[in-house]
Amino acid sequence: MRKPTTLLLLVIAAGILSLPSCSGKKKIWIYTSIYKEVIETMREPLQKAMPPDVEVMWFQSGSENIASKVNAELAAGAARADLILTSDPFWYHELKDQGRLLPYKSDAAKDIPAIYVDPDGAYAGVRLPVMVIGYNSRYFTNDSELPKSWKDLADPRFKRLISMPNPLESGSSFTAVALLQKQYGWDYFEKLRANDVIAAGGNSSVVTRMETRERPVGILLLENVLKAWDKGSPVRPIYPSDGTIPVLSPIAILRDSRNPELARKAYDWFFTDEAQRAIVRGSMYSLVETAPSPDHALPYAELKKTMMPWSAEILERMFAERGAIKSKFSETVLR
Amino acid sequence: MFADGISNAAVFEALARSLSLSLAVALISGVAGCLVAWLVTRSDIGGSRALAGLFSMPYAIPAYLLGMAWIVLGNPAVGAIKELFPEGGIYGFHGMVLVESTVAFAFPYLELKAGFERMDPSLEEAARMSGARPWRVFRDVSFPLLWPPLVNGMCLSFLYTLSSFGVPAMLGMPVRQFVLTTLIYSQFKLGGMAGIGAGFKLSLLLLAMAMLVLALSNRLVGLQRRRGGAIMGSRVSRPGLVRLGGARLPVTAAAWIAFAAAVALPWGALAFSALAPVAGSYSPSDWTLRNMEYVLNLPEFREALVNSLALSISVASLVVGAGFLLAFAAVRRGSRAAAWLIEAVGVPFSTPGTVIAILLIFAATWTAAALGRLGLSFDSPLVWLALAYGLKYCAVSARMLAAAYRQVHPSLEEAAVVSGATTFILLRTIWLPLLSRTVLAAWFLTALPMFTELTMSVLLTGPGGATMGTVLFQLQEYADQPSAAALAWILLSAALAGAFFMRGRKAEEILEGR
Repeated sequence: MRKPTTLLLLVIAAGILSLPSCSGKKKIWIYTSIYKEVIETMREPLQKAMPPDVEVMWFQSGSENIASKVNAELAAGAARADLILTSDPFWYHELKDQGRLLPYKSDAAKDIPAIYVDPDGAYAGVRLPVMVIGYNSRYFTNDSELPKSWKDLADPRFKRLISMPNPLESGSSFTAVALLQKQYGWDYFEKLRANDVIAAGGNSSVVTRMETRERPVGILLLENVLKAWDKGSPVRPIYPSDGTIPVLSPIAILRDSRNPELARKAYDWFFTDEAQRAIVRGSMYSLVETAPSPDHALPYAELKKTMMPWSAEILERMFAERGAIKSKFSETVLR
Repeated sequence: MFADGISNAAVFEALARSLSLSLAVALISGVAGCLVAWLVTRSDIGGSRALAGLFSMPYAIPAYLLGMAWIVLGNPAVGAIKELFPEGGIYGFHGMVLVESTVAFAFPYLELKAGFERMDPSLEEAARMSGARPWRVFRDVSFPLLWPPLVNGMCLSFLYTLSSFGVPAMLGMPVRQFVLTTLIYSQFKLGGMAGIGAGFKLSLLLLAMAMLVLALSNRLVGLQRRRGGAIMGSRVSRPGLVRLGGARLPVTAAAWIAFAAAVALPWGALAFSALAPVAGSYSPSDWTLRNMEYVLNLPEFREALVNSLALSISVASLVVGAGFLLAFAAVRRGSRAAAWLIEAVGVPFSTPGTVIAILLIFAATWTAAALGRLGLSFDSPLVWLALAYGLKYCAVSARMLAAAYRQVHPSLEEAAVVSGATTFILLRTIWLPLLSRTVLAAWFLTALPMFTELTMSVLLTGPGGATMGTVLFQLQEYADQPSAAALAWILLSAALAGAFFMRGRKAEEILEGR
């Protein structure tokens, strides 16, 4: 038949296309969900920090796409990624449980608070996104109408005003759901459901819903609010009085890494001042206490005071209940 | 039974919604496609040549962009025409049917248009001269001959809707209306390893539904074949157009209004969004070109343009070429293997893109490991993108061309064979010119979705592998809605220009640069 010949031709043609990429250099693959603009500011300094015969390759996508890709690669044999930097702490925990991560207790990460570091050295927090409440400042003319806390969102006056990312799709949203149900129970989500909350898409769709006033209030990542603010959007953050939600965003080396020494070198680089400054410029908090806070954002010292508690044990417990939390959320909010 | 965190009731509800949505879309696009194809080829409707090309345009808009545009229009809070929708705005089943039908309409429409053009109009004229009214002519002459492409077109619409993800995600999920693909997607997204398993299980369910529909449509087409092959057209006679008489003006107006609603309205909505400094600020005093500039100056934009053009043109040409030969072998040479292959490629077409991408990542990892043992390295994402596109969309051309071969009477071919023509000459001088319109339509229907493919591309891309789809995803997720709308508007305008250029031409004219 013609089909196999066609496929063969296709493979050959593509092979020719790809010849330039078959260079002799060693490669370090980094899979990350960090903003592309931030990667652009990191690309050159990291390349310089590595030996000259090493090429640093970046793959950028959403946290969940990266998890799907790496999971599929692992299921097929070996992951191509050497380093992963995304913002779904539960996925890292799962990978660690399966023995997929290469433990590394780096000196470079010694300034990172212990609650954000895996006790066995499988991963360490390299930045700290936080979940907050966002609102459209053109929709609310009077500050007294604004929600002050997570608890306020359950009030009937916010009926048909709230949206959030779908926790079945977004790791940061799942962290928020897990911590909120721990604090307020499922009763809280029943009230959100009664308020007809939209739980769909990712953080960016929450921003769009706020901007178009379809849902002027949102539960989302602070970095999305700050980015929009920067571009002239009327979206502003509220740091809830009952605690902003930390979304641990770790870095880890995969056990399959073909160049573990080089991977460690790159790992260390992400904790340097240079890398942490780039992260702050990307509207995320650095976990190094001495680092500045992002523009427009509450100073880290202030933020810390109202942050919801986090620890390796909390992560462990929430991880164990993950399936139950997801199905309970589906039943309560998505039905 | 199927998945963690999802009850069986939820799965069955999603299944029922998937099936009813796909059926509604297939019926609407079948009826509308038939009607419009007849109007532009057989009636004296005003501006028929222009309309003929323009009505294939909705297909050029990636469904998720169309969804985005309709959300701007039918947003329950600020939508420009929100009054036309029920309380919840565009969200919900009606919105999904509307947007999916706009796109899926192209399958039956283009098939039937090509069918009408291929059909010898003297048959219809004979019937008309014998005093039959247009409806009778259609029912007794045209319809029996155009049955295979119509069924096939509706079948493609059904499968397209069944496996579509973008529109149900945008218009269904916010109001808690899940279909199978959105359920599969959430399983893959946050299920860890167990989620991959559950996602595959649900995909098998989806596939079973698709196979059922394919088998059913094959039976229908098979019945037709047993009744004897239909007639082909000589290319000499121009059809005598049916005079619409007093209905001409209102019908023409209705056709143009339908086109405006399906394409111009979303096009305008995207333009408005692209000009807005922030999503939702649509007043003209705020308009800015900043989003356009941002998109055009993106470093990946040029890379994506080159990659997407190269991938869609080359893969679509290969796939259509292969489909042309495969359908010839299956229909005219009775090859069972070829017929079976045409059936088999229906599987990837009705499989959600996410599943195909995950399977290809498996393949890529195995290939890399095997090459690694030979001391080679091979990282080009373009190969896997090409493979993904080819797999996903090869069904369209193979099925369309098989239906077209079936519609044509073999007498010409037999004459050529008697005169000693080789298979190559046969294909080159008889079948290619005869089927040129279907070839062109198939190429169009294959290349366009490849150009803007998103679901598989975001998983398979890598350094050097940016495509229009990955850039759009990037803009949507990391920039803002107006920038994504700007890119969408640029793509759509380019597609409109392309369709304008191609309108009314035949494949061989374009191939020969005429």
